[in-house]
Amino acid sequence: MGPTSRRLRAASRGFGMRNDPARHVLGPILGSVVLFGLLVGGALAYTATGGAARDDLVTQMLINAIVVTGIGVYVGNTGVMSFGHIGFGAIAGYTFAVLAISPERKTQIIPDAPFGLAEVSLHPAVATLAAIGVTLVAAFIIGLGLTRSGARTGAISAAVITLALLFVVHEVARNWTDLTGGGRSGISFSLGNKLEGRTWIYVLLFVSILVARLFRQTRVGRLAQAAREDDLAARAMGINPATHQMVALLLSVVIVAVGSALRVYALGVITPRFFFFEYTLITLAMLIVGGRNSVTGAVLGTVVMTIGLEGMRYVAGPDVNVAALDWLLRDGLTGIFLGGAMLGFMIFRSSGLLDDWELDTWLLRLRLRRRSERPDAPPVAAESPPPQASTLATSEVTVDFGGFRALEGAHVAVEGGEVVGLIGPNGAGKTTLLNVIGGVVRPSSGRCIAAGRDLTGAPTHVVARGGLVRTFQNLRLFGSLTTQENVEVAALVAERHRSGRPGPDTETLLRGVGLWELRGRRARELDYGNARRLELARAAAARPDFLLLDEPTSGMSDAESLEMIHRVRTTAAAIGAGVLVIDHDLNFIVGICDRVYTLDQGKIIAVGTPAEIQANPLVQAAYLGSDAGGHRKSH
Amino acid sequence: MTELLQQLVDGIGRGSIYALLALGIAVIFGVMHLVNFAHGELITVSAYVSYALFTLGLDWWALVPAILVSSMLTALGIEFAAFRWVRNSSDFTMVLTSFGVHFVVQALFIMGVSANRRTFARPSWLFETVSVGGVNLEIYDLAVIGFTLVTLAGTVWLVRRTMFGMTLRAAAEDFEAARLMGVRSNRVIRGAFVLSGILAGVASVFWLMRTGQADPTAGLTPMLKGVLAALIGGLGSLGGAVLGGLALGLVEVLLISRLPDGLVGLTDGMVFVCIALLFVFRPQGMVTIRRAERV
Amino acid sequence: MGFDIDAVLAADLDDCAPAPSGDPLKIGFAADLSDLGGFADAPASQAAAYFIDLINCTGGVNGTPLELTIQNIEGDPDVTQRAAQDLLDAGVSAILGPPFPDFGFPLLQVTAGQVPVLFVASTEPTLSDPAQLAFLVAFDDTAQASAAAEFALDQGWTTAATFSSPGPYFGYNPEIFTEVFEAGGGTVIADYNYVPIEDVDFSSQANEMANLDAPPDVVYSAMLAFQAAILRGQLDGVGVDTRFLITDAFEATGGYAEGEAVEGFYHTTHSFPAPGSRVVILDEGFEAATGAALENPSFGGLAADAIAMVIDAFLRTGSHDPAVIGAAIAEAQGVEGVTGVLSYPSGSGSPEKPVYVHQVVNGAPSLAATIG
Repeated sequence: MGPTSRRLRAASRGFGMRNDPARHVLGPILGSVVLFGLLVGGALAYTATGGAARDDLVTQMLINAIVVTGIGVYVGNTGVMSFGHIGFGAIAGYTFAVLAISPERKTQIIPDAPFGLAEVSLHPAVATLAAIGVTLVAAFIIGLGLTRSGARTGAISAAVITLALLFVVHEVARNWTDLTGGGRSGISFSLGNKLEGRTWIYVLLFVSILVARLFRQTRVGRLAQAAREDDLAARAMGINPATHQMVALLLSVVIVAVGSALRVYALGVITPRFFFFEYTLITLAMLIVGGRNSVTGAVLGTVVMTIGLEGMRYVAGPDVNVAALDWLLRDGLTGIFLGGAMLGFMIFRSSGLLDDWELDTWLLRLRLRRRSERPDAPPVAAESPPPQASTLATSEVTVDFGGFRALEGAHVAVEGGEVVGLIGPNGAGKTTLLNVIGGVVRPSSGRCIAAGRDLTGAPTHVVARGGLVRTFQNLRLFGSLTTQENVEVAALVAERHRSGRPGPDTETLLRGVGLWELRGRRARELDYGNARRLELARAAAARPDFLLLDEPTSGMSDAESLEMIHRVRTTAAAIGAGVLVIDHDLNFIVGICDRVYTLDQGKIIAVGTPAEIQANPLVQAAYLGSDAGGHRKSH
Repeated sequence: MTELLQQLVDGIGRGSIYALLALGIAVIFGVMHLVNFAHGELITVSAYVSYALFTLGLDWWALVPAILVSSMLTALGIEFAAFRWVRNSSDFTMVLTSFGVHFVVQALFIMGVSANRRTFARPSWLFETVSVGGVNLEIYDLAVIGFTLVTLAGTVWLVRRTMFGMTLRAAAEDFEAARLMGVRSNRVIRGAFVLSGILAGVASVFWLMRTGQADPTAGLTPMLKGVLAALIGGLGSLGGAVLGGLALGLVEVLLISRLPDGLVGLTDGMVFVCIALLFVFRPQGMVTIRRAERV
Repeated sequence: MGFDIDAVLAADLDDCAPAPSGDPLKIGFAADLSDLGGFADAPASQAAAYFIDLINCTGGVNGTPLELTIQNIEGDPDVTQRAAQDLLDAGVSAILGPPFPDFGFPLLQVTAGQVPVLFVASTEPTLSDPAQLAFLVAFDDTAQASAAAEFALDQGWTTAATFSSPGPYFGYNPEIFTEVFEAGGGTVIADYNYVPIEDVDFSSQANEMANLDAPPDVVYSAMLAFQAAILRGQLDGVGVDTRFLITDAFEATGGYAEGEAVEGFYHTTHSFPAPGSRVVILDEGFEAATGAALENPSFGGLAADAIAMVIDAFLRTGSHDPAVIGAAIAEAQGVEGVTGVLSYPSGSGSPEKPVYVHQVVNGAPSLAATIG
């Protein structure tokens, strides 16, 4: 095997689409073709039955579909609010216009253009490429800022930064009159030179839909979606959202740039107003009405809003003679519709018409109902590697929160393949210790070493890639991903960063925790016990050296707890991982652990076998004290 | 020196109105994590109420209470019609809801009144000026600063001395914890909207005294200033919002007289860039909000 | 038989001649009725509809009825192009256009020189281009700023200050004013920047002006009426006593409604409502017919002017063909309109017509000068 083909193989693995090509490659292609066909077919049927204004409407709708699909690539996959995509559109639009408009025209309208741009004359296709390039540079810089600000689902900082971009681009465009023609005239193509015909729009729309749809299935896209659902849980699986968000941003900006250049080309004019607030909100409304997490939704939303707005225009127009409209309704009708659609959808169906539903998943479900004959069974250790000969050890960990000392010189050690418990009364510092190990909390002093690597203070995703993967006390699943996808995401990370450690496949893991039949169910629809089991399977899929479990049985009945003991043991054995488990439930700890550490008021007060710990008077005192509601003061 | 002093006074005069608007935005953000881009609609409504009353022959003495009441009622109305239903939704949903409100209100005025602006009289004393040591003090600026101080004092009393204020503060300081303690109740949110409506009402009175205009987008500029000021202040922080408003007013005055020709139009943009940089390097804004994430 | 505009304006809608029955001459109006352009196009479209009713009431143009189609462009470039296309599909012979080039240029991209476009309320010089069959009906900014400068010089004023913001209109008018004023021997002693439409506090600029050695004889600006009123108040407050000379924006944005605050202001405008003048007859007739006055009589007059230009071209050519009518409009000479007599100089799409300088006296316009 030559180096080239190896690189190719690596690349295709890199896209994360190798497994299940029907779902990740063929389906999306088929879906995109069908979606595009429906859209264009409907559009052609509409234009065949009316005047030339219908052609204009369809042209504008198809271009808007490109822009909206582009915005969706970022907003949909990452969940980050962006009000700035139309600002990128403005950059692209102006770059395109300044480069593509003929020099003769430019000497009339912007004779003083800087950098000799008045003499430049590029083919529209080349100008579009240049527009993409310039916009990418801007997007990269903004992307760095977004990363630095900790952009994630619902982060206000991202909304502010992107809004700032929109405003700044607008004000620069308004004031840099030498280049942009200024606030009201803008710059325009000489007559007859604007885009006529839709061939290029068809081609670019199809490519945009296809790329956006395929991106959802790529490794980057899926990891970005996981981070969208839960930023911290994603990091704890070894995902670094910054990378994926940046890729999503750049790709989405490319599509928006293409759409914006087309918009300018088709209008024949650009002024600052064309790419500002109104267009931002119209395109966002299209996206949210259709469903921002879905490419099909982006396209459908564009169609629905276009039909609605055009319908309002028709009703308010000269062809409808209803006296009641005259005295009140006509002038603001489209505004009412736009605002009303936004309000209505936000209030009644904020995930949009389609949420994350894609045409191809539905098409595939019609055709391929894959049935597996394998029974549910715990993963067999023989398939898996022997326990790792490594150690997880913390030494002298101290954590201060303000004036409150949460941990003081705490130390635990877990050998490969060993199951170690960590108990202690409420507020003893158990979860804090787990957070220190997981890289969520930085200790004031002390070290945390796993498999000989010092991971003290390392970012959460580095810790996870180093082989320490955790679950969360208050369940943090990737809610709108399916059960299967939750596990797959973790496996994707493991494939790249834990490639030295083979592990059981997704199906085996899901069968191991009894969730295979529910693999198509969204994680947020699972009941409590199943959700806990899914967290275990997801953590295991990351192929850790050590599983860190934070109260895996909290909220479970005794019978479920017993069952959980079994699942934890078999799963850990199957992947050859050591386990550090926190729990209140002494029965559970006694039933599962080889050794137990007891933590009280931030200090380790006892270590030993479960039997030794149960007999230890210090431990009894700590628990009794806590049960008596007693003497301990907490801040 | 005189010049600088002059600009200081001008800036604080401007900034006081921004502070009132920002405070209203911060109060809402505190209780429900909503950046209320529909805050300007309160001013738009106030403007049309003023215009309507003027055409009935009333003067400013009657307008002031009418504006305060209508602004408060509008705030409550918007809460009832829109924000109540998205209370537990994502920030994205809430922000878009506020834009939806903005569109609908604007369209209603275009339909119901006119796209054209309406004019009403400014108070006669508006531009009177007293000169103190070479510094020109507009009576208007003094009134704005004075009433802003009174309003802020009232707000401080409300926030520090009443049960409602304590819950409000608790919510603003640690939104998640306050919510877990059940603070996110109907009453506190409604109260926050009433408060933000009254604050916007006071700001409206002064804003409208100066513009004397009612048009469907009358609230857009003040809303933008208020949001910018609230952002500078860290969004949820009440004290920060006031500081942010004053800072914005001062920065604008300083920029206008110092920016080279042709860049005055970029003032908002520059302020926005500074805010964005603030958010890049200190995502919580100028005044840090403590928010422990429960893991 | 020609077209007697006075007879048309005098028509009584309750007592019409038999309806004309010929092939109608269709005129479209791509009107911006949104909050952006509504200040001009709302009255303009109402006046246009009324004016056309009057014409049809007097038997049409030589027996040819007129038909007006109004399409709202909603302050949106996409909608503008669709509205324009709808009008083309309806077979109009000419289109009346919106005030802002933001939408004027997208409109021209669709008409593409095939159908004449007459921008009713725009003064933007770049919109006028006979080669594209694009015409202004109002004087352009070059004309109104030059007229303002001439007026200032005629008054013997020697110093001026301008308030400007870069770009068309708000920047272009002060720029031309400065050029003409200084060429005529005047001096522009200062130029202050501000943000058009948005700024409501000019205390910084007022204080700077207070520090000038002597106040300028006149302040020239293209600012909106309410901004000018605030500026004036703040200048009064710091003891700067000067005159104000404003563009047509003053009237368009409700200048007279500002009352006391703008007493004594001069501004350049499209018409003067002298008793018995056509503007007044149109306005009063409109009010009598509909029960409500036009929000802005000048724009009503300009809309009627635009229709008069189309009729004049139709009468000269006898053709419904938009290209023929467009070519004829480009050669229009001495067309009697509501706001004055309009002619297009050879090769220009901006009409030669008078600029009226009003002064606000006791809250009402008084004619200070007619220039050109």
